[in-house]
Amino acid sequence: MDQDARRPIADAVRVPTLDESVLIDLLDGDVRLAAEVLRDFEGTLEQGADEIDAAFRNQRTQDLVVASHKLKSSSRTVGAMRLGELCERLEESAGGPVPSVERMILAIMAEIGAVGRRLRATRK
Amino acid sequence: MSNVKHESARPSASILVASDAQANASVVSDLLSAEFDGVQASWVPESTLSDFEAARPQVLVLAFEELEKAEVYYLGLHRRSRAIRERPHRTILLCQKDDVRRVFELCRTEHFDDYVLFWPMSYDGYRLPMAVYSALRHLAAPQSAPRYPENVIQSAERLGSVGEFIGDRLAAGAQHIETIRAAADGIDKGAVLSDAVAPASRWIDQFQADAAPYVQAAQSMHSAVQKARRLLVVDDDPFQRKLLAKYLSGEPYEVLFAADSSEAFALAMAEPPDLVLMDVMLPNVDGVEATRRLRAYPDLAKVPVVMLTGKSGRETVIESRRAGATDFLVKPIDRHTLIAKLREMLTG
Repeated sequence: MDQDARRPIADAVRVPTLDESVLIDLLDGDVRLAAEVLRDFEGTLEQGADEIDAAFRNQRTQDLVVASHKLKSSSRTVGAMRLGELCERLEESAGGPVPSVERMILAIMAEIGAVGRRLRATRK
Repeated sequence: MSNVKHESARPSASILVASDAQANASVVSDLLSAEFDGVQASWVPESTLSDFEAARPQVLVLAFEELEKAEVYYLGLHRRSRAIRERPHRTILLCQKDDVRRVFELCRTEHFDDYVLFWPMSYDGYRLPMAVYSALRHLAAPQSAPRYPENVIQSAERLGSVGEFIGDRLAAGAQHIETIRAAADGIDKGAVLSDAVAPASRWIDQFQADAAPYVQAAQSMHSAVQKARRLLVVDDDPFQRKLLAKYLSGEPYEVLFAADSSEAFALAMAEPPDLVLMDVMLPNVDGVEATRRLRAYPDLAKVPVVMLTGKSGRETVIESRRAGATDFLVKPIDRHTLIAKLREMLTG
């Protein structure tokens, strides 16, 4: 694996999977509203995964840029910082070599799973 | 004897049937004329604008064989006719079987108000007249958010702070009285002076009680007018739209949502918003270009547009400013900043 392909994933590992304080701060400390937004975000995760997957399979670079941009923005809103970071890397290099893009997508899918598990655990 | 009231008079309404083919215009006009007075038809391309402005219809029936032609016709009217923006109207799209899905989407997203499957001619000849009746009823129903002239809105905004203004002045008066009383304590026959200001104290309390209903009325008026402030949020991400809806749910604004620029145009042209929150990255036409296009319409030229962006890069800022953006909010947006920005821009 070339170094460029490794770097985005390695860098992203340094930030947390879910920092709930980010969303609570954005909402002026409204914990109840934060819980509602996090519930909405679970659906967004699934949709984001589907959109990224479809864009990659259909080789539609622009769709991949749009899908990763959307998921990046939503992820950072709820404090899913690592996912936001990975999505940003994908947004910036969606037109790059296919194996490198594919590795990034796999990392994103794994992170989507991790964020989903954290969200479900938080709800319990 | 039955107490049911039967309407015998034919309803009269201003209905315009627009088409690109005289035969279709005639068929549809004849069908509607059997039910309504006031049906007119327009099919000559050169007369599109003059026909519409002469008719100023309450109900516009688009009887085009191709959906794209109906869209071009209607967008053309929006660009060229001031009457279409001033005259409340409902638009009914006649469509073919194969176009139903797309037409449904166009109506669901409020580009048009309703549709009738018309080609091939259906068994239900009453469907179109019924849709026209529904449209007329909708127009007759009171609208949820009345629009007020700008001077009324500004006056109501000042009235909103009248309670605070009166309270501050009375508190200052009470403070002066306390100062006099404190000074009276240290002088000969100070008690006389202290008694002398007692009526002023009572007057302050009485005035506060008497003014309370007027202050309350002023605040109610302020709230009512504030509710009429209309925000248009343009963002293709359902999560961001939901989030903004939650941010704004307790605020006194009517909030409309569009998922792309064409939805935004349809909503903005139907009734200009007081402010637009525009995502930069939109599918097809991006937020910068959408802002530029909004600015091209005289009615929308001065509406503040706040760009929502995940990128605060210099290029995005410059391009947005050139397109006519008024301000920026960088995602993730915090609620406090958003609300403060809206208050500043809508009451400034």
